[in-house]
Amino acid sequence: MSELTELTMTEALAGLAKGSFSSRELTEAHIAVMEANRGLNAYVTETPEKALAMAAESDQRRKAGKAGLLEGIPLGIKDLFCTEGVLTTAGSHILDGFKPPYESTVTAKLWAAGAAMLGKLNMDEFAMGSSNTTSYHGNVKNPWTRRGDNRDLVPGGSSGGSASAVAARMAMAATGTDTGGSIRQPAAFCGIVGIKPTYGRCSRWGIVAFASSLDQAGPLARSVEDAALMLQAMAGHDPKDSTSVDLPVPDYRAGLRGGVKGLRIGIPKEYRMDGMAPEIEGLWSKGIGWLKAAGAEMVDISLPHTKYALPTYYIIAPAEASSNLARYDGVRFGLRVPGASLDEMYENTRAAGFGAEVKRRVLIGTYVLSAGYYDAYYLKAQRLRSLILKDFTDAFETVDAILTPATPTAAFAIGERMDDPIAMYLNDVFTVPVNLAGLPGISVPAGLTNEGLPLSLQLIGRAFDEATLFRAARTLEEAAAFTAKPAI
Amino acid sequence: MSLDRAAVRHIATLARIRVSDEEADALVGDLGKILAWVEQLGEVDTSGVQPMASVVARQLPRRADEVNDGANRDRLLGNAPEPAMGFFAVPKVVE
Amino acid sequence: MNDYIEGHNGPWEIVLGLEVHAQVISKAKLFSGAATAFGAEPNTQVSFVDAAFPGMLPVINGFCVEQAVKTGLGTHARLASRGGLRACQSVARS
Repeated sequence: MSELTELTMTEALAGLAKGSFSSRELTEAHIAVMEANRGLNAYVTETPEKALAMAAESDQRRKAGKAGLLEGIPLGIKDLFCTEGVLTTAGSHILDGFKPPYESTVTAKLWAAGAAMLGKLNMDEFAMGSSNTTSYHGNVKNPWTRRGDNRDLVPGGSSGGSASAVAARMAMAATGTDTGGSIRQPAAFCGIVGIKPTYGRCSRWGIVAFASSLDQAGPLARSVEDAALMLQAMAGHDPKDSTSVDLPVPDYRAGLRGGVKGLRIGIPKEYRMDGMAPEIEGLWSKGIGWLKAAGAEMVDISLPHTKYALPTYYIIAPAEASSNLARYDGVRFGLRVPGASLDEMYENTRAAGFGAEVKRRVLIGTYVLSAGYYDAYYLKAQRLRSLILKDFTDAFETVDAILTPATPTAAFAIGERMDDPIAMYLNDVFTVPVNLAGLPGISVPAGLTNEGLPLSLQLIGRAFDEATLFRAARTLEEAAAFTAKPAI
Repeated sequence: MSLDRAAVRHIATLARIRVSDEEADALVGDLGKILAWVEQLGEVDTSGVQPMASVVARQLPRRADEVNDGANRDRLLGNAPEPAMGFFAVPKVVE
Repeated sequence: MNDYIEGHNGPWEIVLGLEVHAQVISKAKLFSGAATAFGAEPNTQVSFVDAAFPGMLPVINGFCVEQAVKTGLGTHARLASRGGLRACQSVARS
């Protein structure tokens, strides 16, 4: 039975098609691992009965010859996606008891493709964080630990529960969202694949909004092929989301094994940071070697405004968050803390309902949008954003994809980097520019540190060119032959 | 741009979040650090650069003028902390 | 030609401005497909978008955009050929 949880999604679909096992058995196997690993705190809400009911329906559909793209696959869903009738918390106290009366477009597509829901995955509150240590529902643990050290490590964030669950085989794959790195960074910390597609590729309707011009849904999965399959099911135009793009979704698995011969890969000099860990440098060099050996051409490029990406992000994202989170006021849903007047009720509810990091960001956002400061901060940041996009557009004149490290370090211990908010923000230094430019980015596990922790490489592509990213990522995955798994 | 406690209180009022005196003092430090850090954007000459209004460069999609939503009061009030006679009950607004 | 009224400390000129708020007569709302009909029971013409539920997104009513443009043309206003909310506000004031 435990072998079923060691399969990739692709392998599982083949087994289901052959009749080697049923979706019910596959789902039961994952439920068992989910129940045995509650110590990781990856799930906020487990939905085993629902999962089994969906699996049973899937087995029926398969018998009737109607198998969808993800027929019978048990998935975990980040608690930022509204799931009809099922508690949706966004990792926050302020959404206590909230059961959405609607299903997000992305999850509706997954169920229509035949998948089953194991539960709702823990995350940093309102997707604000890189460590999954800001959730009202407690920290998530990384299933990986340092060799000879049993300290709990962070899984990364904000999609920490998603990454931890997939790495620990508590779900075949999971949905995540990525606003500044929240799919790619936790995927890297947990040794799995994560892709943030181009802004507008997936619908944001029904996903609790953090920063509307940056948020994007995407999959976390055990292999590049699995990620391609899952994105296939998640992507597509949605008329209910004005920012979703009306472009056909290509078959992402079609050219997967096409290799990288003749592909031009950019190596941005500004990503080589002062004091970069030698292991990260070393892995980046290895990645360059692998792609070269496979026939790609390496091109040195410059992305001159890289160092301004993080501060630009930390003006724009909090500004948009302050607007998106204004709706949490205790009136229509979620937590209500009484007050003598309406204003007092708002202030009490929001003070009690939001955690410290969310408060910091809402306040920064409120400040930079306030009268007298809008031009100096928000408008200035939007201009920087244009420059950052232009850096990439210029680079893509001479290259087809860009290779960088995914994170500046491997997973760190829970409790480290908590003193200074900015130290935590630096975790996203390689991922944030990609969100500002609206481009697709994928992180692929490629090696282990001396302490046995996973490290990943990131590939950045042209808008809507996820196909090239998957192709190059597959080449890296093959060359890296990363087979390590955390002991659970 | 350095913040003082009065500025923090003002922002907290705009954001409708109650902050205690202790929290306000801590925020003066935290927010001050973050604002000092983002000041570096001032190093970049952005004269003549258009602010990026939208990541997707296309026309705003428009809907037809048709009634196809609303009419779901029960579901609307289903999560309300204090539903009452078809309304969302809240404390009295005292002018 | 100026009309002056003699006051205690000199002539005063009257200047009158009219700020007119005119509602577009559409069947559905500006950002959601809920009805705009007068007289319905409370909260029966409120969509999840109008009530700002988590994850909801506005989609603009094309008819309202057309009516706004027609209004601009009819009052000989300057129309912005592109731009967001700020552009609309500046057009209205010209």
